[in-house]
Amino acid sequence: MIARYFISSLLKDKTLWGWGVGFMFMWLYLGAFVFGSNATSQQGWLIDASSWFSIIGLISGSLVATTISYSIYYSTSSLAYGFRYTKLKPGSYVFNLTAGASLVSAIIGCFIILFTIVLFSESSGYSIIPAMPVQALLLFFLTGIFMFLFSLITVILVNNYLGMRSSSFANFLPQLLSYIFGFSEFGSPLPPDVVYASPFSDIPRLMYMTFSGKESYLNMSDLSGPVINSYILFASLLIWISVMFVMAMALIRRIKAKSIEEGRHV
Amino acid sequence: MIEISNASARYSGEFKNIPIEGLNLSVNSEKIVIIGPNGSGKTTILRMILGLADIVSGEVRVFGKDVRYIRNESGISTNLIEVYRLMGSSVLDAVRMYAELKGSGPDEALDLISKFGLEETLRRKIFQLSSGQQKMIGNILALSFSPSIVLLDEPFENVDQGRRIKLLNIIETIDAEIILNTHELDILKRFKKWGLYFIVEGKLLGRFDASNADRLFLNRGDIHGNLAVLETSFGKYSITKDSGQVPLSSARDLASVFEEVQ
Repeated sequence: MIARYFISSLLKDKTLWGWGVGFMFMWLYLGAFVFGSNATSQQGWLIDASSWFSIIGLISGSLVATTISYSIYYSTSSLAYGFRYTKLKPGSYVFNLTAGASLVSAIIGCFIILFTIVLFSESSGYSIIPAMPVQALLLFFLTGIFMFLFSLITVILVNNYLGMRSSSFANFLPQLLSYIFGFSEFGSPLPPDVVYASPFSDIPRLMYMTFSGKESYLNMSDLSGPVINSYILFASLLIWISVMFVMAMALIRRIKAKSIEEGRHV
Repeated sequence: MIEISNASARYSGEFKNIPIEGLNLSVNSEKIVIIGPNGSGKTTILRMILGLADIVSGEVRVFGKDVRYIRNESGISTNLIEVYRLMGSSVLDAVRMYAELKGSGPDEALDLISKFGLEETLRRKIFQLSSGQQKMIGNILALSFSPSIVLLDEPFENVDQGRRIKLLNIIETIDAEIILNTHELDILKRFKKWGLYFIVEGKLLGRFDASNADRLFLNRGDIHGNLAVLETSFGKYSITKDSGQVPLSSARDLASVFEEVQ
């Protein structure tokens, strides 16, 4: 079970704790105390807390993805060697690391849930508790699975077919997409079909639903507008994970070793 | 057993250079040393065998199997540290993980780490180590877990004298097929029973016997009665036995022999 080494490596990664947990705490603090809320009721504060929770949950997941991308990027030679000259099998690698990433994502999710409860309860004076905490945690599990598969596929595609200069782009692509889709919920929403089809929209909107207990709105700044069906969002996310799992299993066998020393010259 | 037949390889990446062309090499239950200057293609040969370089033509076979399709043959090992960077682990986790992946236990590697006085590296990540420490951890991982073929790339580079002697003793006595790359000629004194090859600009010359290394000479031009001729971008050279321009044993590395012949 190589998953334990991956989990150990991620949990000892100070950068991941700094950005994935510390930085997210700062944003939730700003959301609760600096930006605050105009709400005058507990329900109003819960809606605002849910919005912050959904965006921060997505961004923390994307930070896990960036950490994983770097890890995979620096492992290309190890994988090419490992599949040939050790007992490591491509399928076992994908299974183990998917499990590891989902567990680490859920551990970080516990902190995000806790921070949201404490900070928004303290700021509002109400008891701000997620409506579906178990589902919220399960969603962090799924986010970890999605982010790992997305990172693996992106790194292999960039590594094998697009050349060295694009490695930073691959590492930061999850964050870029998270900011674009996450913040598009407010003000100028994307068309409903795009929201349903994009996993980077599915995740925060499902997170919103698990915290608030209500369906998310197409435009989160207009709470009288059309709502988004959470069942379709969930089905879309599961389809994405399934398709990406099949892709990851096919691509991992073709991974090419990339000399890191070679990359340093570029 | 390693069989390289008319193989050409390049690093994958945007350089698309071809450092090795039409290489032939056969190693069967023996130990060989490949000597060449930096940048001559020594490491690329190992990368070809390990499946880390794109083989654009020809064939590389390990244990009779094409290296492009070989899977889960745990009998081959290397000291190239890039293959031990799986998951960015600490040295201790890397030892445990690779022991598990090789179907062995970690004790042998941990004992060697202790023998070489490298215990302080165990909690640190591999990329945080100095180049000498990385080289030694690579050497230890290569020599542990009962390999049948060991590929060593410049195993003594950045290694201090005390550790170098201990390492030489292990390399000499280990029961495995070995390909050892180095740019140091004086190391041949310790490898008398080994096969010897020279490599310059991706062209491999050999096989010679390392026991005869102090009888070999490098000459400018194509000398009559030579053992081998080497054509390079900076001229044609030949290797002769017992007489010639510059004895190979007179210098510490091959690059300085070439400078002397000029």
